[in-house]
Amino acid sequence: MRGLLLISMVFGGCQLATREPLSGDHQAHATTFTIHTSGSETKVINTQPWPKANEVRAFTVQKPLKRVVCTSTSHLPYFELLGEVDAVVGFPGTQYISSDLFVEKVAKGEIKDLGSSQSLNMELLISLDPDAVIAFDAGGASGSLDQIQQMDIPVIYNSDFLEQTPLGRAEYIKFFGALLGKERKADSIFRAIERRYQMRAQMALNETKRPTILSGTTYGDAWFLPGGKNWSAVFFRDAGGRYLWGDDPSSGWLELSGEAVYEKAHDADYWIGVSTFETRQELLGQDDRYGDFGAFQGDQVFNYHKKKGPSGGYDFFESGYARPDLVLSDLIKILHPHLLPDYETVYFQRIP
Amino acid sequence: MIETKTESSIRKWGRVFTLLLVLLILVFLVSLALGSVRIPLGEVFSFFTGGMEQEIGQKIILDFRIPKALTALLAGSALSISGLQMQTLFRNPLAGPFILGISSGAALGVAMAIFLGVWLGGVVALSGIGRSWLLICTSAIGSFTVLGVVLAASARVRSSISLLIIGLMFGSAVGAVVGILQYFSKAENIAAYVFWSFGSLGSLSWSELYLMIPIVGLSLLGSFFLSKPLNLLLLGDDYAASSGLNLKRSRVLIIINTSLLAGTVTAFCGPIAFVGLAIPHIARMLYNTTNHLLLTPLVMLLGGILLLIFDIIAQLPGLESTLPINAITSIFGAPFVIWLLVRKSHLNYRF
Repeated sequence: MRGLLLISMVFGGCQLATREPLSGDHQAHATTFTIHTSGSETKVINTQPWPKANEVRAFTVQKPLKRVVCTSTSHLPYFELLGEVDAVVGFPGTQYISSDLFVEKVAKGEIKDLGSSQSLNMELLISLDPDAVIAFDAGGASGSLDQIQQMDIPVIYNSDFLEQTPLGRAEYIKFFGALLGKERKADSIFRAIERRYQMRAQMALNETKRPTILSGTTYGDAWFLPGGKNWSAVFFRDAGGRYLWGDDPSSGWLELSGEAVYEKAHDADYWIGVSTFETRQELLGQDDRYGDFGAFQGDQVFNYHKKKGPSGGYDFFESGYARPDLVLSDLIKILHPHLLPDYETVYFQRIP
Repeated sequence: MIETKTESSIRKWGRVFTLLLVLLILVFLVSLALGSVRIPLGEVFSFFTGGMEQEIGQKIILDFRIPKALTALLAGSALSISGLQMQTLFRNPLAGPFILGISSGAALGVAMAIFLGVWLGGVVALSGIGRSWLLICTSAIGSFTVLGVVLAASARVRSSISLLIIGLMFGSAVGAVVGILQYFSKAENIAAYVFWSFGSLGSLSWSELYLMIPIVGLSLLGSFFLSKPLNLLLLGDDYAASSGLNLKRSRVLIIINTSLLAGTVTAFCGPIAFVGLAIPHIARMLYNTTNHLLLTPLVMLLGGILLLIFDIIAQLPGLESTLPINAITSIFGAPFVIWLLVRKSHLNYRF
């Protein structure tokens, strides 16, 4: 049900564009993959298959994949957008899936649970006879991936988490489109998302006032917040805000001391992104010094917990990557509400 | 002749303690002055005289730096005394505050809260208890459960060695359970647990300190009264008993005192390694004494001073980021202990 809503929201924004030409081999935003079409053959190339990789991986799509095992919930929304939900036959940790369509399939037994993504259950995997396993390697030991390849099951690397821009990450729909034989559909969906994103970013850019933003919470002694080039920080900037660590050069996460964060951000206008806290009382329960921040006192604390799956997982971490246009619109609605008066946020909401 | 010897001894120790006390106050003030945020020394002094203008600086010192310094001071003293008591009780130089399985019990409590949290979730929300208090309580419950079992065992076991082994076995078993819980958990929960296990001195605010200070303070006071029994225990179980010491009662009191000290610190700060084991040795080597009447205050002062110094280093003053305290304690502490050992021609004490 929600899947249909998702798809109709996208197509509502563009004409049925089946005749538009493909955008070609060069991906506009993504830097970690390209798709090469020559004649009837399509090759999907990972230019950066894993962190700090110095080799390139390629997969030739002889025929569209029909039975696929995915290893991350962030892969699933692309299947949903392309209408290929039935192509997924196995997944590790099915209890973490948020999407209704997939949860239904798991309940019906059409998607097998393969254990943990670090060590897939090999026997179940073989018994599924998949066409490919879409895997990711976060830089650790890829022992289990080698094992899978030895069993003649192709392993296709997905390094969407290495993309540093929202549109780059969302462009992975073309990656899946090529694998599933739905290149044109992927292309038109992405164009709609890209168009909406860029239009709204332009609106926000024209705003003169840029509210200041704080993000993150403490774990132990250290406050974890996104670096200046992190995926979240790009959103803050494109939504017309001024992230207080926007000048930081790293694309990962910063670990700062509480006093350093307090000094810089005690009077930030907004505090966006507070891990798993859903009320301000809970925040105080972890550390009552959170109450000293201006954004806390001014009731301007927001989190991405509005949409949740049946096991309580945040859908933001599943479908948010595929719909940067929605994430951006949510943030613009928070920072500059007058720009989108009729829009209702999808992922973010104020915490009481 | 004997009179003057005693007098000169009193004078010597008087000097030592005065020096250490002054050093402690100095290091405390330095830890208030250094941190990620630059607050000039003059401003720090004016904080105490009430003339500080910069409100942010005031807040930082009052809400961040003073709690952290107090925590470091208390944790350092408490863990060191606990280590001293364990080393004497078991006559084992490798003993530390966690030898009875206290940190394993705390780890189990915290692991259950974090990994099984989804079941506890309903209870937690209803009770309104904050997350930090949840971890403090489950850690304390875990520690004291293991303690209870060990105490029950101590009533039925004659020698201290058997008690030591029982403590080790419990620690091992509990550690295994934590491992299993981790294996079946999501990455974020594992990360949260790992961060707890790094130990942290800076995550306490005044509301937690209002509970920690009295408990630790009273236990430290209590440890002074255990100095005599500890001195007797150095002679060995049989000699101590023949000197009139009630072995079973002393053992129980020492174990309770140690657990209150180490268990409370672990509940509030997570497991802090190294200090409990090393400070008693440093005290014995530097001051050449095994008399607990002197060692107790020595170890308390040294423990507080050293952990404060380690915390100053861990704050990486001037830089915005920080290091976990457990990394610093061992990296800086271990070479120091080795240097002390190498410098002395032979250790004057043996168990």
